[in-house]
Amino acid sequence: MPANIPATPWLHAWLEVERAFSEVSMQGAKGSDPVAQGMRRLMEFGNDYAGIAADCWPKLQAGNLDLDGLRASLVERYQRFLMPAVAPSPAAAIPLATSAAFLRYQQASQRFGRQVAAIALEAFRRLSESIGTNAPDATPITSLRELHELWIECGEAAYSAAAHGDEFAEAQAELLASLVELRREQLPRR
Amino acid sequence: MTRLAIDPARAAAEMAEFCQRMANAARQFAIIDVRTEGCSPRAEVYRQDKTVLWRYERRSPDAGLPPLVICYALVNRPYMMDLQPDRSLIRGLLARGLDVYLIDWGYPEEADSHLALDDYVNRYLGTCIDHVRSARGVESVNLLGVCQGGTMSLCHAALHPERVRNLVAMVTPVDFHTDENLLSKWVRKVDVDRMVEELGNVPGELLNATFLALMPLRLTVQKYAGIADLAGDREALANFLRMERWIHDSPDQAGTAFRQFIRWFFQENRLVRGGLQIGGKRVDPRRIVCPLLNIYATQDHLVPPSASRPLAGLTGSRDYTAFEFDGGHIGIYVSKTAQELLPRTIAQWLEKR
Repeated sequence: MPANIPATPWLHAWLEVERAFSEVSMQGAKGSDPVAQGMRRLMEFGNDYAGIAADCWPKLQAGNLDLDGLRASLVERYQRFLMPAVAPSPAAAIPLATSAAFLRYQQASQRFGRQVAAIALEAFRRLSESIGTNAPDATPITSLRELHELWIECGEAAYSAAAHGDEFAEAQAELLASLVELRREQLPRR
Repeated sequence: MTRLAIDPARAAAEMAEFCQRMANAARQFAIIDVRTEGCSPRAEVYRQDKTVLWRYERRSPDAGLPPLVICYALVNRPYMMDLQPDRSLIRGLLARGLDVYLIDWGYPEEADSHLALDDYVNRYLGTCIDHVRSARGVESVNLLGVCQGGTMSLCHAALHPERVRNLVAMVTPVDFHTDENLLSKWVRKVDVDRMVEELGNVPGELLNATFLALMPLRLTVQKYAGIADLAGDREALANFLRMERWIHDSPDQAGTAFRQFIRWFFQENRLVRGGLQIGGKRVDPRRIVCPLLNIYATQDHLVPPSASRPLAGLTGSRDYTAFEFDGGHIGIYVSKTAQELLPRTIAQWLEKR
């Protein structure tokens, strides 16, 4: 759970959930390694839902849950989600910091990051549009789950529109190539 | 003004219930055992290197059809065909009296990185089919290719038409350059030579991450949040966990075969454009003259229908049937609708030929 999540009535319960899933993940025996992998991912992404709920919480308590107030956290959360989890470890990165491979990785990561940032902003724009009272479907959103579902719908639509483009594919391919090259520098030659 | 009308007290109750349901699910996950390679009785009848040919035990009357050999993809594991008793294409086919064989490619290791498409398409698939022909005393078999295994089956049928009596292609990519094919758009930009040169075998985890990235929120965040809806239903949780295990059970890919498949099919689209050679022999789809059943899913995000439909007219077959399934790439095997519909469609089509 991210450290900046404020205290909430359900925080303790969520931490219990995390602990329970962590145990399943560590256990491995009943479900085998692929299941343990699944459990780890589950918690990684479960945090996203709980995290969005936590972001909403202080504003809900204050009675001023408005979308603009959530903009920074939603966009930042989505950017973090879309960036590949693979990266050189800090320890390995230090001696590599000046290598051509590391510089290539940094540049590729920044290029892909720009794509991701644009997608996150577009997702938020779509969410704002959908939530605005002028939207054709003016049904009130009365639960965090509904808000989350709508966020997923908008996020997926923004992502799909960008992901079909050449620039996204090129940035992604370059990031992958840079990681492969970086790996070669980190590992002894086969 | 916005549509946001979330009451704090109700939200607190919602989150408390969500956490409680997720905790229940976690407790269930800890005791549910989903280690399985399929649910139907079967016997290993042939093995070559890591490739295993399974024959399934049929308890229903023999339909009197030539044996059916299922050629699964190299990516992912073939037990998706027989995931659990009520979600099993294989069980459905057995129930209709078919003699079912399944090829399991195993888990390639470092020493297998040199394996090429020639090994898979000609050698392993060929010897499995030959084993069935010999064991069952038939000249040719019915071949059912799944996804990438369908593409490989088409190649085999083009190279060895005498071995294949009827060919069923399921969610099979044929034209890799259609506009809806997001995976192909990405893969076309990848320097696959460099990747394989550096990695040897390509990690299954990398492929899995790529597949999930096609619809990242729906296939992860939304799916996992949905577990709360299943809490309390042990069977539903077991189904979820079984599927989760399958998703993450991704074999590494033999480097040479991977490189060839990416370059020749995804990047150069040779099956459609021409120029495909496997094992030094030209693969000409027009040499496929057997009856063809092309089954694809209308909402397939991995192999969009536009990638499968071009099979019509590509081959020399005069007996072509297309069947559109209303669902996705995985739903075609595990949805309730599919359990009755797909085996019936396949069996009836084979019975007429």
